[in-house]
Order: sequence, then C-alpha cells, then structure tokens
Amino acid sequence: MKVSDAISGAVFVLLAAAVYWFTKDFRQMPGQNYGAAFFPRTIATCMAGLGLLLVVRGLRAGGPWAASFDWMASPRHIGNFAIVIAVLVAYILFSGTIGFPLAGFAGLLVLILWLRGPAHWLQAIVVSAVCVAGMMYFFGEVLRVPLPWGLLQGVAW
Amino acid sequence: MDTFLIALPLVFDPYVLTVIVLSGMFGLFMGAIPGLSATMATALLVPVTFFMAPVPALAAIVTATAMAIFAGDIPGALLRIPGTPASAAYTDEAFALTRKGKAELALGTSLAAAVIGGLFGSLVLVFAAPMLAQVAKNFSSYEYFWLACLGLTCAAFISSGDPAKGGISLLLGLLIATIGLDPMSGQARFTFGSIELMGGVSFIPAMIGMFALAEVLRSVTAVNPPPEVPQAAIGNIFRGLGGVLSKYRKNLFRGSVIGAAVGALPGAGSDIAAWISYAVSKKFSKEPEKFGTGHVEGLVDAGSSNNAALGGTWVPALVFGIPGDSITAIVIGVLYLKGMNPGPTVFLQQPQLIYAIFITFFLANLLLLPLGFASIKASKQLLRIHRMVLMPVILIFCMVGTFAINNTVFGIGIMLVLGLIAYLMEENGFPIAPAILGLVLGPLLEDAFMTSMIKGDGNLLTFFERPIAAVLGVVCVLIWLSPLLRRRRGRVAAE
Repeated sequence: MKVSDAISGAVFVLLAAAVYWFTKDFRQMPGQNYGAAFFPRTIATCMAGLGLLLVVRGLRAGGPWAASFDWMASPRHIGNFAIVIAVLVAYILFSGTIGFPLAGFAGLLVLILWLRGPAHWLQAIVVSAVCVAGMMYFFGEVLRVPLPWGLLQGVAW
Repeated sequence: MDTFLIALPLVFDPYVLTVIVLSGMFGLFMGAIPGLSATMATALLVPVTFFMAPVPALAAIVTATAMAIFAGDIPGALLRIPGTPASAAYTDEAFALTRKGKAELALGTSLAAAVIGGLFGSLVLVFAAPMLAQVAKNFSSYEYFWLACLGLTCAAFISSGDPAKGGISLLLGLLIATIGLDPMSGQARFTFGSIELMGGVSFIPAMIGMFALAEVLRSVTAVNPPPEVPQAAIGNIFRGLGGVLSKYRKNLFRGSVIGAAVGALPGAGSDIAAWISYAVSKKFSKEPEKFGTGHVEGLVDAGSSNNAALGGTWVPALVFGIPGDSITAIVIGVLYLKGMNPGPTVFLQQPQLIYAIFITFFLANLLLLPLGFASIKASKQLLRIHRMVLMPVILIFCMVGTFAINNTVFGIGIMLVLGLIAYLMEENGFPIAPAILGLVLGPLLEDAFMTSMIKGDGNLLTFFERPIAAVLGVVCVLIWLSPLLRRRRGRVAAE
C-alpha cells in the first residue's frame, strides 16, 4: 500500500509514542538521571519530530491518502506476493516437525510451480531436489549446521 | 613489512584461495543478474562466512563485492538494466554503444576500468587506513560518539533525496538495535516477554530480511516482463581497448581518485561515486555533446570510479567502525562477529589480519580480469536464467542461512517481519540502507553516548570540550540544521 507522507509520518509518531509508553517503567541507573529508557526516548523524540514534519508536508501536498501498488491490480501478482509469505510462515511452523529436506523441497516446488507455471513441473522438481540436496550437504555437512531431518531422520546421512 | 610477510601465507593458502575464486564467481553471478545487487550478494554470503576464520570470511566479501560491482555493467550494456545500482549512472551510455554494434568495446572498457579503479582504491585503502588509525588512537568516547553520528547523518542525508525519510529509517534501525537487554543496566527493553528477543535482534537475519527478502518480494511482484536477451555472441572485448585506455588515461585516474574519495566519505558508496564521476567526466570533456550517444569517455570515468569506491568505503569502516555504505555496514557486523572490532586498536592488535585484507583487495581486483572476461563470455547464458526460478532458490537460501546463525526458526521470523517492513518502507520512498547502518552502529552509539554522559556527569557540553570532538560535533549539528538553514535562505531570497 502506498500511503501519503501524512499517513506514514503519523505511523512513526505513533511508534514514537509507543516507545515512550513502553519505557515508562524502565529502571534508572543508581545515582544517575538517565537509564535504560534514555536512549530509546531520545530516538523516539527525534522520530516524532521527523514524523510530524512528514505529516505537515503530506497535508500540505494534498493528494490521495493511500493508493494500492501497481501489482495489486493483477490477481496473479497478489498470488505471487502471498505465496512467498505463505511458504515462509509454513516453513517456520512446520520445518521443525517434518524436517528441512521435505519442508525445503515442498516450499521450493510450490514456489517454482506457482511463479514459473505448472507447465515447467519437471524443471521445478529437478531444481527443488538439487537445491535442497545441495544445501543439505553444504550447510549440514560442510558447515555443520544442525538442519532438522524431521520425518526423514531414519535416512539421515 | 614483517606484518606483510606474516599476512601473505594467510591469504595464499589453498583454502582461502578457493574461497576467493568461488566467492568471485558468486559475486559475478549476483552482479550480472538484474535485481540482485552487490549488497544482496554480501548479505547472502554472511551466513556462510559466519563459519569461516576471519581471513577467508572477509576475503569472500571483498572478492564478491568487487566482482558484483563490475558485473552490474554487463546487463547494463546488453539489456539497458543496471545489474547493481552502481552501474546505473552509465547504463544508457553503455547500451547506446551496444546499439551502435560496439557492445564489446563497452564491456571491455568497463572491465579494464573496473580493474584499474579497483587497484587504485586498494592502494588508497592500504595507505590511508593505517595513517588514519594513528590519528584515531587518541580518540575517546566523545569522538566516537560524534563520528558515529556523522556516519549515520551522512547515510541518512546522502542515501536518499529526502533527508526526513532517510532520518526516520535511520532512527528505526537505532530503535531496533535497542531491543534486548540493555548492557548498562541489565533492563530488558521491548522484548515483550520473549526469551529469544533478550539477546537482541540478530544483525544477520535482519539484514537478510531487509536486503534479500524485500528484493525477492519486489521481484515476484514486478509487472514489467523480463527483457529479451540479445542473441548475438560477444566478440573480442579487447579490440580497440588499448587506444581507449591510452586516450582516456587522465579520465581513468580522475575517476579512480573521485571514487576512492567519495567511497571514504561516510554514507556514500560506489553508486554515488559513479554518478559524480560521470557528471564530472561530461563537464570537463572536450566532446560533451557526445555523452549519451554511445561515447566511451564517461564509461572510463564512472567504471573506474565505482570499483575504486569499494576500497575507499573500507577506510572509515576499518579505522573508525563507520560504514561508508550499506556493504561496509554489513562488513562491520561481520568484523564484530569475528572478534576484529573495527577501530584503531585492530591495527595494533591484529595487524596481520588487516594486511591480509589489503592483499585480498589486490588479489580480487586482479582476479577480476580473467573471471570478468569469463562472465562476459557467459553473459548470454547468465541472463537467460529465469527470475521466477532464481527467486525461490534465493528465498530458500535466505531461510537456511538465517536458521544457520542461531539454529532456530525464530531468526526466520525476524527476517520475515523486517523484510516486510523494509519492502513497505522502500515502496513508500524510505531508503533502507540507513536502517541497517543504524542497526549496526546503534550499540556503539549508545555505548559511546552513555559512557560520555557518565564521564561528564550528565553535562552535554562535555561532548564539545575536546578539540576534535568539538569540530566533529559542530559539523554534525550544522548538517542536521542544514535543511532549516537552506529553507530560511530560500525564503529570504524569495522576499
């Protein structure tokens, strides 16, 4: 969503206000007038100032409050955006249980099939399999990252 | 000289040399594909370098970035799309040469200028960094505070045409850096009960999200169809090159000097160096009317400038821990991870590592000649790789790379959230580089600020008591006030 400077400025003013709110109970350092809240509040004050500047500028400039991105007119592109986010969220939720080889392969396969088109299914399968095996070897074996095997634990190398 | 001899075997080790060649190929690939920048190449390399010793880790980044900056010229010349922002200044010129049937001359000139500029930038780094480190030895928390402010301010002001939005981006980065336990008081800040956030927002997932995931999202939502890859084979890129280099040798030197100098300024990197050099080239040219019509002169200036800037950006990064651009912001994060805390002390405590970096710079720029030549020859195949296959692969790589840092999917969550924020911000005109600089420099800035406040017993004037600190502070405050002063002057002039 493309928003006017007035809206984006207001978002940052609100964020600055939230910082003030969340820092109200921070401890002071003994014998000092400032503590853990001092630096975040300094940042928040500057942010509120610049945010207000944007609000004023946006109001003066006029124009629409918000407009959708060019690609939002195309359901295909909305799908592209959504599928990337969906694969990431699904990976976060399920990779621990089903393991990297299956989660990675499924994620890549879905992404390539959707983005490149189902007609390229063979390319999608080959690329997904080679990439996941390559990453499993490179990260898992060479760099010793404990990528979870999950359901394939029985065949772990 | 002794240190140099100790550093030589650190670089000329089979493992390190293999890393250099592989990361060089990776950098060329990333630079040559439009939409994948040198910064993204660095961001994707970091999780891999995380597992390496300091010398191969830094050698990989130096080589990949040097290659990527040059490789950005390839799609610029062949498709009129800059592979990286550093090539944007002269893309039209290079493409005009291609349309005249001189693609070989455009690519050959770019390659030669990149190698020469890169070597010049390396020389500047070798001489300037140790000298500045001598000066910086006497710096206290006050000077560091102002230096960090200056670096961040320049980043916010230079990286975007809109200082207010650059400033907000920077402040957001600084704010994210405060998440976690406050080192001074032990207070948990903005963790909302999450144990994982206690340790703060890890820099690597944040950076991968902001630079790589945001770019993947932009790429999959791009409405323009991918451009047609030219069918003609690339011929001999060295034909006529000797004449061009000899005719424009002054331009080569001028571009390199401007590049190294601009790169060394905090907040300005290769892309800005290329724009300035191209403009200077046109201004002082004997044939300015030919610019834009496929004239090689601007290519010599700007092509050498963006690669020279790379060496320049490492000067403030190594000496003060102040990034010259977004790539060195990532480098500073890596230096901290490797226990090579940037600053003058690293020149005293680990000089062999610093010299190893210097040697790598020369090696990477020399290696650019054969590898760059090979990538030009393979450009048709490289440009044919489908974006919609490449992006999913990059996404999975980002996920595994992020996981690898802390072995938890929490990092992937950080990457997702910050990637979305970065995407929304960039689409609304907020630059992202200042946020990354803020994230990297935030802890240093807060530490220097709080230490200085405690030393000065809360008296803000102590920030201006030492001479160098006073100069830096005044410069900083003047830059902050400059938009107001300009507006006031504009009003007076209007009246």
